[in-house]
Amino acid sequence: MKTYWTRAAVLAVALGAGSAPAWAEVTIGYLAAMTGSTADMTGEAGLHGVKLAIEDFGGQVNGEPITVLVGDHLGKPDVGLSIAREWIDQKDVNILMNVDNSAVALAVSDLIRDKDVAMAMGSSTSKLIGESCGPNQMMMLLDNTALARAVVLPQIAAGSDKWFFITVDYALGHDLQAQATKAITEAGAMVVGSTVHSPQATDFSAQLLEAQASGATNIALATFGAWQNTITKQAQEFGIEARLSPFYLADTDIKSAGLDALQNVSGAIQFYWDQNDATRAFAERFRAGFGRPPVFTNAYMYEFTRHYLKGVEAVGSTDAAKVTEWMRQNPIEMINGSEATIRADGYTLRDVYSYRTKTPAESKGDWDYLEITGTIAADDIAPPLAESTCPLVKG
Amino acid sequence: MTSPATKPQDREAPRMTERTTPQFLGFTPARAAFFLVFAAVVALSPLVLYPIFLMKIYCFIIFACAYNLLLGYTGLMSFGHAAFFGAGAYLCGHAAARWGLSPELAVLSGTVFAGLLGLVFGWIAIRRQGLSFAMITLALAQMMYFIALKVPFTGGEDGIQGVPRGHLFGIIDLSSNTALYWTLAVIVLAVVALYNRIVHSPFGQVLRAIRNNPERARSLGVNVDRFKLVSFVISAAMSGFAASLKTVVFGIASLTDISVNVSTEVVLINLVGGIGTIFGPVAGSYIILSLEHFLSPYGPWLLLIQGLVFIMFVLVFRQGVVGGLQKKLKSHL
Repeated sequence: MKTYWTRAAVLAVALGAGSAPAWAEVTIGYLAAMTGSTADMTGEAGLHGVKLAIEDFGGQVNGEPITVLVGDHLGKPDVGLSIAREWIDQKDVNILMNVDNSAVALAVSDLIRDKDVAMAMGSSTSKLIGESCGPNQMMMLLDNTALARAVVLPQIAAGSDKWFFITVDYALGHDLQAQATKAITEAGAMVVGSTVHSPQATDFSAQLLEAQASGATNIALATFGAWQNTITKQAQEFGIEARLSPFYLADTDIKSAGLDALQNVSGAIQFYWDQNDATRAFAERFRAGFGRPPVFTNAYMYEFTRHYLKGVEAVGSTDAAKVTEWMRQNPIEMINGSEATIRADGYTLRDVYSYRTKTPAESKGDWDYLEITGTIAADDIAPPLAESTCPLVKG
Repeated sequence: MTSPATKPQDREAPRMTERTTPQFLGFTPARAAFFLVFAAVVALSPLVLYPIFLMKIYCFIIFACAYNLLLGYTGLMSFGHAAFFGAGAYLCGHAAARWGLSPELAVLSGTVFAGLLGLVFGWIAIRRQGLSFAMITLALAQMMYFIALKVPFTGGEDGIQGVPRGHLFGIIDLSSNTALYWTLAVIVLAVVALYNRIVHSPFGQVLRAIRNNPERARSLGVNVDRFKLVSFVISAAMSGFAASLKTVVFGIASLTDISVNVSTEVVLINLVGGIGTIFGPVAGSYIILSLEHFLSPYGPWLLLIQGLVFIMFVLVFRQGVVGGLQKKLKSHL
């Protein structure tokens, strides 16, 4: 309940500001799924990341206040598009943050192409750095190609040679499966089968038995969220021996599925709170306001918001083209002390970390879930610029 | 919800005054006054409200008028109008984005396609009445939803995106919100006038006769099924027209347009505004879409509030806002 009131308050402030000539203010439009299957990972938690970055600046840049608008796109492109359009027309929004759904991000990407608005996206479809790339848009997540490589390659190197896919039956799942299949075959391993599940599915026994029967060493989960949690729980009940390889596994998923169901799972992640002192310090700060440590999607909201605000400060205006240009030319300071850079097509070159989930015996309690086992260099997984279909790169 | 066969509000409705009051194009003085008020609101509201939001209301007014023609004036309750709305939206989007048609031709193709679909669905559905009719339309609409989800041309979850607004008749640049607003304003006023004309024409009188008592209409020599079918097709085509305009305004046709929520929303709009009235769909669209727009920050609570509104109107204002007004004023609105 409290969150609704704070959101209402933010909106009320924003509405009040919208009527005055607000050209100088910095307005961040936080457009995300605040409800639904991904809300646990991004939603309010991502917004908290944005707020922490604004806090770093004391709530203002160059003497101008920073305003945050919050919108719930409900995972529907038409809803997201109309919210974004209204913010641009009515509220002089300067940057759209999160947009954590591929369909919504694609729709908004069309809208902002010739407008003075930047966008930092938390969706991963490769199109957004390909034919739908834009001069003012940046991708905070790994795109599907990079993510597939980051998850698959280290495991193939460790001996996993037969892969089976359980894929959510819509664009994201199919794209992820296609990219991972490419990475698997290029690395000399084999895909022994695949099956899809409908977005309405609640029982995955048929898929799991099919996977078991295929003799796969690994079951790649080209799905996420609540579906993935159910799959992992059922896999444990059935005593499935093949290793589960999720692509999107956040600490929140482990928390809800239980470490029992997800022990000894390998994968790759952009950020883990217990990696070093710097991440632990940030996690402490995040937890103080939100009640749990940040997951990777919350961390990049903080990193990108801070980077954007630094850009506004350095450039001295909110001109989207100039600020985005600054953001590309200067490295992003990551929470864990490393650096990342944004390429011309909007892809963020960043190191990711391979992990193994702990066993319940190893874990010291809630949120102590991962053991970071290595670093995957940004260049090893990035989709090569030479093959890019982005007009900004080819041109 | 009222049963389509017998409509209690007809019996409570004021006595017919149509014969005695002077009429021009279906406008009695009372309806003309309401129409002028509506026109004034359309002309002045962009000064205070966001034009895109108003344009969305106008699209839904057209859609709700289409629905009311069927429910309010022909006595057929369809739960499947999302199929026509979605079909119009998708074809208009496809025509504008991929065939490169101008907006007027894209809207026309969406309208015609929805009309043709209405012909097929109507031909199947009007063989049954009441609940069976409603269920057949619902089933057909769900089939359309599934098709839209699966076939590649609709873009699945992504929808058809980046639909260009283009130039109306090659001259008026619709990419400016102002130009688009006035285009929509003229269209919505024209559609409400046309809708009023249809209802208060001899054709509309036959429809109302069928609504009030189909057996009696048949005994008087009316080909009931044919009139129902024509009404159904007009309603479907108008729904497709509304959806096409919406697609041009928002630049996207998506699964939302063909989902069952659209079908229930149009019922709700008419229930709140007043079933079987000319201005009910207008008032209902303003009320329901404003609720959605201004309460959207409260997320899921919106559904609760919508539900309460629905219950309140069913229990307390069974005739809707305009339905209640016309009882007070003793004149058809």
